Amino acid sequence: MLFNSLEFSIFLPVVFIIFWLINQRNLTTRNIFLLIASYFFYGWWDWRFLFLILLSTLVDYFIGLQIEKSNNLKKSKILLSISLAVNLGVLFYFKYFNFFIESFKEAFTLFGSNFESSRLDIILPVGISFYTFQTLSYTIDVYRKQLKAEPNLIVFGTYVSFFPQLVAGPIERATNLLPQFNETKKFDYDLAKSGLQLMLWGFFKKIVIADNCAVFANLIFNNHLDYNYGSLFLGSLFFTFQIYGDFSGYSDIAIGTARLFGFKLMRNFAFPYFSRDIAEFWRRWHISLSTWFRDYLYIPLGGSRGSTSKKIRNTFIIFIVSGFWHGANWTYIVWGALNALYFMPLMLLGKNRQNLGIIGDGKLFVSLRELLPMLVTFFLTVLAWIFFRSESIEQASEITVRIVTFYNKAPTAFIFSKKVWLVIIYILFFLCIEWIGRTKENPIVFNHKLPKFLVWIFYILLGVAILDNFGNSSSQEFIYFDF
Amino acid sequence: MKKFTLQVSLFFLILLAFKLLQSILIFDNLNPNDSLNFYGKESSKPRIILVGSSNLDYNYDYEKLNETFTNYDVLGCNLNEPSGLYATIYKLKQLNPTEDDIVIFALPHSLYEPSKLLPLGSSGKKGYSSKMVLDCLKDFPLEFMGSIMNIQTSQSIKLLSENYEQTTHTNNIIQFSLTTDAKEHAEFLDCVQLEGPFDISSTGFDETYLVDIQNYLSFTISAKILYRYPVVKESEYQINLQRIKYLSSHYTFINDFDDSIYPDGNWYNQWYHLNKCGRELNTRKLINEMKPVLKL
Repeated sequence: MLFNSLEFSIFLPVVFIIFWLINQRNLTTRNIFLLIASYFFYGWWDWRFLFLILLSTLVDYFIGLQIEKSNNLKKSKILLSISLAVNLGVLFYFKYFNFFIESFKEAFTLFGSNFESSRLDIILPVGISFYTFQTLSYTIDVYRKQLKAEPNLIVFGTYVSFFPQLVAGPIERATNLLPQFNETKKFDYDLAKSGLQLMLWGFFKKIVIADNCAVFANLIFNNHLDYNYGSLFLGSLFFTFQIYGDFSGYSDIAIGTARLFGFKLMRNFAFPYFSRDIAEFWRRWHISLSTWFRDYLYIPLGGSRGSTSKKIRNTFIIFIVSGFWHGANWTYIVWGALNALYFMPLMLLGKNRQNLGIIGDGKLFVSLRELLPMLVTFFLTVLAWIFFRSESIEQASEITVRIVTFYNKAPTAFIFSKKVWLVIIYILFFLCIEWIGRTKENPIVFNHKLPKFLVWIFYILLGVAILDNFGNSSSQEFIYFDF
Repeated sequence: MKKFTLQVSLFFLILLAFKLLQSILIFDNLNPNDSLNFYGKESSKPRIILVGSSNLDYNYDYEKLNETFTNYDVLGCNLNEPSGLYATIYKLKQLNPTEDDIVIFALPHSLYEPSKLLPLGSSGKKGYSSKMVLDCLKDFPLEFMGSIMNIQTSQSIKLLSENYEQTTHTNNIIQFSLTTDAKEHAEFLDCVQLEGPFDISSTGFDETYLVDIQNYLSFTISAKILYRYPVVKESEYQINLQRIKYLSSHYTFINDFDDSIYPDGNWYNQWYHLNKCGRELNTRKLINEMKPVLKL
């Protein structure tokens, strides 16, 4: 079920009412209800893949318990390996099998040999990368003795499949989310209100910004050979805002929805396009994934300790794996590697943690000293997104070359229709609101000095903009559903 | 919880009121007189009523049909496709079809889609009235709500700024005509090479909606109801096949799908408008299809 669908607008209030009606009575009943609702939410897309979630749940539930019981390190390691093999095996089969087959085929052909194989007709289950990583973090934490294994299967099942964040994150840690299913909730007005405010901004980002940008980003990327450097750069900019609006919008809606039920999910985005260097960007973009890789891959590999060559190796590994996590295509790998290259000078000079605060904190305008690095970082990010969006390395290279060489001999000029200008105005408005509210978690939560009726008018206008664009976007899925 | 529920309800009520206001602006600013013109002739005989969109302007010869089916009056009831299915059915209802009548839905594919029931947000709508829109809210509340969501603020502002032109057709009398505008176009006689192919396979049907519409029609219209495949270009047969097959699995049509395919030389200015040759062929085919139905 999509957040931006009519079905969800019926599903959410129904689940909300029933949840709060049964919440006080019995914790188990409440969790069973949440579990059923979450399975219904997922099964609405394709019920067959519920078995994969169930498999992941059962495997990690039993392995978690066995690891905790075991006093034998070797046995615990074997159990952890089984969990890794099952979860990553399923992920590999559904997401990467065809990629490896194709890549082997190409490699063999390159060296003049024949590699006989055929692609499998596999559907990628929505959200598989997200819930796989979430369950893996649980087992690893239990193995590391950072977390007690959950004895209640219903609680664990609800943790794995909790519908707000099931299909596109945030990738929650068991240490944060799991205990919340063992608490009786009391309706918290302020939490629920902040949840709705986040949802409102999330829907604006998805429906008004991302879906409108998608129209022109798709037009330009799908016909890239027809366009000059200016149009291609504009297309890349549209995609830059599309991916941000799409994914951070989803995260906001997910976090906001969870708050309606009294659950607190981790923050996933913190105004990444206002970053002054790539290291800061990665502390602000898809935070739940970045910290997952940091805790379960980067640090075990040695992190930033050890020799320079080891640091370089670790940085490349984490960025390339992160790229590969997004999809089975070389474009994602190059996107990851490109980010590693951007990151490298900062790490080698020991400057990767120089921008920990908020840009221009307490000021409306920032100095040129801060603005320039922000614009450079933004430009580098836009170039990297070209690889992320392109269908192939060739396409990404052609677009990049045309942009950096100011290629101007293409047959088609991009037409700045009224609609394009409207989208540009939307983006500028969006950037202004995010800039003004960059010190807060949600930029549309205003301070108490602002009259309430003005806040209401602003929220109603956002609602109108969302509804105005809803009809055009109801079929647009979230990009991260594909990951 | 009470305060929260009240605030949320108030927020959505304001938004809903805003959308309803927009829809009122739209349906009160359209010309309702388009729903008074029909093709064919009417006497006291039972009627065969063809229902469709602009395809009825071009694809049927009403003189020929009336000459052939002497025991019936053959009528054409249509609105342009952007008006949607509900407005077309509403127009049909003005004829008060009875049990003696036969209604043939020769709709374009798009009118089988839920988004085309009452496309308030689309431009070029005709034959709307506030009563019709409110009746639609009663009959299809879900689709209606979906429809008002598609109205854009810019569209409302544009409509508000335009002066609504009253037509001379103000006496609310239904009018019939055996000839259509098609004959006035010189090119209608020749084939115009259309650019294509026209892929209709990307748009979607909804199973529940298809059943709902069938039930609604059989409940509200007493006449015998038949369905006829819309015409399809030969060169576009393959790309649209899947969609057509889906429709066939939900409706029973009086013609074979193969019979609704027309060679590329039989077309006029749109991929759903036949030219003169195509119209003659289509009319002949309808006559043959109706003979067993009328036991002739």
